[in-house]
Amino acid sequence: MGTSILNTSLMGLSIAQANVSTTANNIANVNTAGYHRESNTIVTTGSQSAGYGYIGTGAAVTDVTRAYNGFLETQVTQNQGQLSSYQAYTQYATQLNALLGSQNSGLAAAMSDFFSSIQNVSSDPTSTVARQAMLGSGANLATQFNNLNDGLNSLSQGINQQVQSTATQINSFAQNIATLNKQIAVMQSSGNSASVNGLMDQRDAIVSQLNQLVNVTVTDQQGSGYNVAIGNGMPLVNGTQANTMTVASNPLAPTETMPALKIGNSTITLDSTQITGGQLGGLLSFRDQMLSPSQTQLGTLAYGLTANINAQQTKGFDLSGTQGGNFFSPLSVTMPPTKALTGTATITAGLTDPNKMTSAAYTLGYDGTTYTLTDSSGKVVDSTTQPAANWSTSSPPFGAGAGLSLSASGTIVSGDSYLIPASPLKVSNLSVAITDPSKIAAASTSTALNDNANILAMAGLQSQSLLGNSTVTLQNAFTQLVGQNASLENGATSNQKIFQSLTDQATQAQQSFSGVNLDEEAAHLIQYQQAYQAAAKAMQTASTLFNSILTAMP
Amino acid sequence: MRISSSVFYSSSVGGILDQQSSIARLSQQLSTDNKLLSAADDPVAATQVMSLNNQIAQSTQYAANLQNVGQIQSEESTVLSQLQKDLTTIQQTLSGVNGGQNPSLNTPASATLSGLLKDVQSLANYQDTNGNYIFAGLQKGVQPYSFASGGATSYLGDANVRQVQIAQGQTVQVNDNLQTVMQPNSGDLLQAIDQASSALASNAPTAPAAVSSAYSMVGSALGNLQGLQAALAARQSQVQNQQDYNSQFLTINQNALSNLTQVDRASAIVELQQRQTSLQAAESAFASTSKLSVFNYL
Repeated sequence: MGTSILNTSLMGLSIAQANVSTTANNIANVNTAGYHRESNTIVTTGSQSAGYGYIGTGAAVTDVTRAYNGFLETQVTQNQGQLSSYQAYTQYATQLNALLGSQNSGLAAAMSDFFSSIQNVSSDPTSTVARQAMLGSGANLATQFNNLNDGLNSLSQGINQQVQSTATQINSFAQNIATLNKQIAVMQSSGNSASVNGLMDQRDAIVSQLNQLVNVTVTDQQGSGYNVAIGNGMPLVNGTQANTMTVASNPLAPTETMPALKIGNSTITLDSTQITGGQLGGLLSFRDQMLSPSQTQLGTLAYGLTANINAQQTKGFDLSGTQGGNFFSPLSVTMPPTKALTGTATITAGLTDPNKMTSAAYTLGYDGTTYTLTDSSGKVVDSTTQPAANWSTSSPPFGAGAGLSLSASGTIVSGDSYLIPASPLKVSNLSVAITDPSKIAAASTSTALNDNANILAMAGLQSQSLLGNSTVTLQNAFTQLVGQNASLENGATSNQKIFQSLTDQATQAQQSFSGVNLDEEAAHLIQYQQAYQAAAKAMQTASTLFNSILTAMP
Repeated sequence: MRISSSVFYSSSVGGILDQQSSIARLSQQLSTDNKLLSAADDPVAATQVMSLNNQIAQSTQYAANLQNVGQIQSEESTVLSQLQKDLTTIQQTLSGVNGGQNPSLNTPASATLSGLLKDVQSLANYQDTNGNYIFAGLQKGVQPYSFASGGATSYLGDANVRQVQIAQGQTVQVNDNLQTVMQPNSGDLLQAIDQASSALASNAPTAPAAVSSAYSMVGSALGNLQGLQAALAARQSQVQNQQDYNSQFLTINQNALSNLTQVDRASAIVELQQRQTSLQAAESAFASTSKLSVFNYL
């Protein structure tokens, strides 16, 4: 009987010890990210018949479990993924909007100044001072365009680099998850539950970090671990096997780096319709919604402004009675490549009229006799009859209805169609072409030098609707660009705030369930210390009982 | 609800950071006197502000154009008045000797006429402060009238006029030429006056005819000059009206702009005070509660 009391007390001692160890472990991990507080599962051991009834034989620790609630974890992960997406988006959106400047700075002010300087020349057409000022404000306007263009290009490069480095990070997380899947499976089969808890915490923490890079869907396969899919279901990790994230250039905009997933021998390029969350999702949607359209619209504006000013300037005569030359160096425009939807020919697009240009893509179709160019709403903007093989048209160029000139090489057959994408038109080194103020062609005739009719017409370009199919003035086109980007940033910032508070709430709920509270652990320490002391006391009592019998023996 | 220890710290710090960023924002608004720190704060107001700025810049430019035009017009108006005065005196002088009743008046009349003739010639070649001949049409640096020794006038300018924009879609003519005055009814005004003056000086027998011809030519020249002056006066009042309208429009737009962008200082300062109080409260709450721990009693 004494032995059984000793054994039972010993069990009490070791349970108290195990509890203190678990508590100490909780305290040690109070600030460990991804840690779930642990507790020991204690069950009573069997009881022994004492004739009159059954007496318990003590208790034993059967398992160490982590406080894990899958629902709460999913809430945190999902909200965090969206939060990261909006954080990446707004971070770039703020930079873009700061570049565009608003209200009374940057390009808007430079355009206003430029037109004012033209008015001043029209008031006093032979004044060298006024002409010099017009050259100066023209140069300033060109600088503003160039700065803005450089700024947008560097944002674009920043995104390219971040897409690249995110792909690298995703790979390292994917590898980690695959490795942990393997280790956990090995540990589970060997029944080492405490170590498995730590590994599971690690794996969950990595999944959460991965989800902040790209939205993931996790399926727990139990035996073979987590299967992780990214975006709209692209398999990244299958048990112990991880696929590789890589990058590819956007076929419709070669300067843009896209994420791509290598599965076996095939590489799938992923875009913002497939990757909708995490930092990568935020980067891709920022680029699609704000950066590329801004580049296109800024390019259209620069092209529209320089083409119209140059056209007017070449209609007039300068102070020496010579016909005017270009005021701005003409912009060279590189159109993005077209894409064959069906067919094998190569279609080349050039830009002819910025007014007709929109930022939406066009589709070129062929029915065996007629080529038709349709815009994104399905409206036919141009059609022509051409042979099925190599063709090009020059006067009028085919595609004039969309401000484009299209030519084809190769053979086009009935039913073929080609996509002419929205172009990230880039301004490159806009500059004023003339340095001599007398070269400004203010007069409309070569014989009356004090004439200002031509420069008056140039000043009038300010209030003419020269863009967007003659619906918007140059300055309003820029105002629209600023307004549209401001709204997008505003929306993203609101969403960021919403997902920040959702993440905070979800984290609090998750932490409320799984986090360590030091006061609670302190209370546990006292509780387990007392249990230990009590068990020791029981042991002492058993010893005393045993001794009293021994001393009673003669 | 269980609060995990790490959440206790992170949420306390988060609260403090939020208050700090609100304070920074309010201070920036107050120091720049602009409540729209970024277009994204209020996209609709931001685009309105940009449109208003464009309109204000245009109105300011039109105001400058209007002022220039006004100055050019008043200069021309002064020259035309002087011309009218000279021609009226010439008319009166010619009228005094017309009919030849009193030949003793011929010599002084001739002297008066030749003096006024020089004056009229100089007015016809009037140059503004920039050295531009104001009656030369759109010819640059060309003296518009030259006078041969026989008194014949030739015009080297042209008949073109210049327009200056004074409002969107509205321009105003800023120059005139004197051809209707100098060549009335296809006759040469100054040559006729010159011939009358010479004939009077020598008491020539042609004097009465010359005086009579010059007299009638001055009459029609004066009539045409009045026509020019009336047209100029009409343009001056057009400019004046546009100036009034433009400055009203400018004021309205500037008021609208300041309504959109200016910070309501009183409410911003009150909010700043509130935020500071909240920040202090959050900080002191964190400082005092973070000291509480059961471990202190073990």
